[in-house]
Amino acid sequence: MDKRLMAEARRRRAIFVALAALAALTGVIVMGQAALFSQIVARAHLGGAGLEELTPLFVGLAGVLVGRAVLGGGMARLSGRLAATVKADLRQRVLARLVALGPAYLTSQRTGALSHLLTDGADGFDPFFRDLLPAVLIAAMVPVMVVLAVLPVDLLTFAILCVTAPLIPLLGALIGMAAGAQARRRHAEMGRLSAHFLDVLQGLQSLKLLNRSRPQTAIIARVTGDFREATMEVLRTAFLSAFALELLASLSIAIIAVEIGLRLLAANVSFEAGLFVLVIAPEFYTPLRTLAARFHAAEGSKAAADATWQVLDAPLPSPSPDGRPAPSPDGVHLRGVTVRYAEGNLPALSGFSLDIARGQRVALVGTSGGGKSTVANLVMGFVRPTDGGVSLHGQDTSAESFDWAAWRAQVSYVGQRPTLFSGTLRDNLRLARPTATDADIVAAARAADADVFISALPNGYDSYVGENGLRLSRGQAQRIALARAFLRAAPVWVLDEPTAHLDPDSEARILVHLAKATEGKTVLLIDHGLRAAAVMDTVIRLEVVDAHPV
Amino acid sequence: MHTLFELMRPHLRRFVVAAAFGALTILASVFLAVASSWLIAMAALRPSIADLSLGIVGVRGLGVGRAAFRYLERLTGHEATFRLLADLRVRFYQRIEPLNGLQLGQRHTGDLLARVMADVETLQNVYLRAVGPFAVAVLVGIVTSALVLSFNLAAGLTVVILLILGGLVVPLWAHGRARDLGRGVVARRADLTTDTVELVQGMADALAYGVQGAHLSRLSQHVGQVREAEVRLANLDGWVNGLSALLSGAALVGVLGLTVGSVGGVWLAALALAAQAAFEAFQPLTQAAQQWGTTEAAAHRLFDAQPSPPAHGLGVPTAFGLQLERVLFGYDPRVPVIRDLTLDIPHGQHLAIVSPSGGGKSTLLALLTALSTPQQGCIRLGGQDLRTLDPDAVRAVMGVLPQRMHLFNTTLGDNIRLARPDADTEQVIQAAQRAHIHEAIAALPAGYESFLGEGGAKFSGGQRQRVALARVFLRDAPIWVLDEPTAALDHATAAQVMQSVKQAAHGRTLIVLLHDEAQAEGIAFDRVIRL
Repeated sequence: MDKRLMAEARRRRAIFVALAALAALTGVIVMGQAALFSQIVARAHLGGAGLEELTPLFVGLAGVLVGRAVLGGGMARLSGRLAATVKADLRQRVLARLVALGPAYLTSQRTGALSHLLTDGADGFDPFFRDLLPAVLIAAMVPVMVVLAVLPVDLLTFAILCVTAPLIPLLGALIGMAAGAQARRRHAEMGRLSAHFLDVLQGLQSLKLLNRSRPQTAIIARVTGDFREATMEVLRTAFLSAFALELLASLSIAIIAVEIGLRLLAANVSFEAGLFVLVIAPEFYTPLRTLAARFHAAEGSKAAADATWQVLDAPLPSPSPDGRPAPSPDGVHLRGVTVRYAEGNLPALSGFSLDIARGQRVALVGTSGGGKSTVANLVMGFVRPTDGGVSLHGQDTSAESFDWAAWRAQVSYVGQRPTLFSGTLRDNLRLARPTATDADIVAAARAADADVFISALPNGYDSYVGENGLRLSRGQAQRIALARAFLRAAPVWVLDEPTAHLDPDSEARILVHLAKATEGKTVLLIDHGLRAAAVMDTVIRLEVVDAHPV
Repeated sequence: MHTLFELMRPHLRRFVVAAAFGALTILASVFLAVASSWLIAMAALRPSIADLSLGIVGVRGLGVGRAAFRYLERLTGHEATFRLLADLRVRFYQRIEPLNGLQLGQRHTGDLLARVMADVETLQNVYLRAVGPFAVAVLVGIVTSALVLSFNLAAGLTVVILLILGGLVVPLWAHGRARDLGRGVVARRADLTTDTVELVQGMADALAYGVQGAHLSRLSQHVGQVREAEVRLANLDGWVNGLSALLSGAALVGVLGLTVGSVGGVWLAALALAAQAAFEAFQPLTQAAQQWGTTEAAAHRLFDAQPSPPAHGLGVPTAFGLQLERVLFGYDPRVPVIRDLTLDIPHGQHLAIVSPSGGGKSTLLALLTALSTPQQGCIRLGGQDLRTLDPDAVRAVMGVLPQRMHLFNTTLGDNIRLARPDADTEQVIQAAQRAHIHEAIAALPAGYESFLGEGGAKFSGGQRQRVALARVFLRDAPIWVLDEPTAALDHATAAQVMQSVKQAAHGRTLIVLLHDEAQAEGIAFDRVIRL
């Protein structure tokens, strides 16, 4: 039983207690059913009793069976509600954590695996809460009651039950451990298959252009084939253990039946008592078998839990402990900053310092791959320095109290990969300043040279754009991103190659507006060319950092 | 659903075998109940031990048999199912692969991913939870009813009625109730996936503009809706569970009540317990019916809701001159991106096409490479209409650098080699050198064996572009179409790259799409046209 999941279940105390109570009642009902049934059969078979004579017993039996149905239905209902509640809560927590972890964490994670975790991955919890938990409660109550009921009636059956009982969890646990390891592997395979498909789907056009889209069918057939084999390997182990358990249970019942039959021959036991034992013996094994079977199924829950808590427990981005705070009072300042995206990689930036006074406009230019974007990411707080310090408007960003959201709220930002969110173009622009009027939006779009193409669309500003703005060209998406920056008109601007995909006429038009809009503002502009840099106050050249000794 | 059953056909034999084992499992249960209670009831009459021996042997054999049959059923049923799922994923890919850019552009990648992963996974229920259990239930129902009927007509009919109630009426009712709920769950799920993918990929912009909160609250609305739908399913599950238990209890009481006094005492318990045991086969049916809605919706989304792929031509290009004749194209036909474009590009010509961003460069590239088809006019390659040619064959004679060339989650070397899978290491390195990306790759700790993060996040835009350009160099095709080959590069690198493109393109058709006429300066294009 996974401790983290058990804790989640206990937190929903009312449902948990109600489930336990229903399980205990189930045990009582089972006794009553067996007792009434065997009494009816014994009196009819040996006593020759007729239907009228037995009517009260029949009414009792019917009542007991109705009770059992109510209990079963109630448990299914409650445990399903529990599963849905816990899953919703965990999904919310994972989503919130992903936002807190930020883009730096996300680039190193596979988007496919994460979306799997939030949908199907979370369904991995169903077997635990909906199936395993009620089975555990039933298995903890009912078999004990059965053994106690059998003890005064038939000592030999009592002995058989007691001897075989420990074998069931033992067998279950032994084989379950092996199955558990393999189930985690299956979960990992599933994530890999998902990531593979995401990669192929996103790159489908590229594959076509390279004539690799049809041969990809064979690769997909192979990858899915591997996935099937991994799955079957897991299941074979699980089925084998189920077989051992089932065999143990059904052979025990066979032995009990034969043993009782022989003792009836010798008149050592009454028929009614013998039948009672025969009917109730399966009620001893069934909960244990169900439990063992669901234990396997719930192994997937552990894998889902691992993936979930891997996100929930991931350390939030924090500056290095030896990060020296930059001492400057104002503006944007980087001191001796080194950034390494992963252990063992070459640093993306090494011992880099930069000072932008408040109201100063700085262009950072240099060859591709020199770490310019990393500087923009540092200022936006998407990346934290491995070494060195960043101070923004006189505040040390390594301090716990630094409020990144408040900082970003005063930044007009254009990133290297502008994203358009599902919604209309107007929505996409307005997110830069929710209070903006339609006139403001049009003005910002004009400044970003986007108004002409937007107005040419049949639905204009109300045109719907999808994931990644698939129907807009990169240049158009970039102009939307620029329009956002204009609309926000913030005191600080961070622009990462804002005109990379624009034609010169468009770029020239935008730069005029940009120069005007950023007057007196603090600006960090990243560019590989010099055209955009020309409208800034200062140009700094960033050389390739590879040359620096590490 | 139709496609699904069609895909099941090749595995039919496996499915039939699995169902047979399933029926044998439950029948072993039924007859174990019969044999053991007959044995005890008989023994109570104190016959000789010889009279009991058949019962004793039967009880033991059925005990072992039940476990063995169950094991075999599970093994064969799952094997067949997972073979089917693998086929489903391949078939889904084959269906979306031929779709053109326009059709694909309307779909979210997250949505497609949800289909191929979650929906396909849902479809494992079709056999394991629906078709299989139904076949088993029919077989078990027939045998058990016949058994009870042979003793007592009224009791037998009671069993038949209760089994029909439990096997058909309750499941159908549950199916009806669950269908709408199931559709809701699947649709809410897709919303959840789509929005998750969008948030994860656009996290930088979301944080920069402080909309992550709004996004989260929209997502938590989806989460809440999923929860509500699941709670409703759980309530239904409770009802169905209770009803099934009630019917199986009714079988026990009914058969016992109707056989008391009319059937020999030794068979009383046996028949009642057999009738009850048969319900073991019927319990999965109600579950199956509840899930059928979810399953059907998944199958529908997977196959029936896909647009049909465009028809394929069969011809193969034989010459490489390109002619465009009054070509018109618009994603929205009322707003053509390209209007009345007529162009003649003889093989070997080096041509620059200049157009402002949004002026149709990407569209023109898609048209030339048969990713899209003109809405009016026609494009000819070697005198043949592109529509009559196999698009794959058209692209086989082209080296293309689109604006967004995807780099795959594999090594840099393999990413370049994708352009020509049989290329050796030497050729890959040469292509990278020509694209001026060799040094950056060689400087990585693992060199050409380095993996790219998802979307190549750790290579800058300019570096990624040159990796994609290296593919073109490796391609060795008679026609090259390059969209902004130097867009994300600094001036010095851009000039070097253009120089090597020009050199390597000698003797080929070279079409370079640019947004700035100045970019064409100093490069000896045979012709520069403005779009």
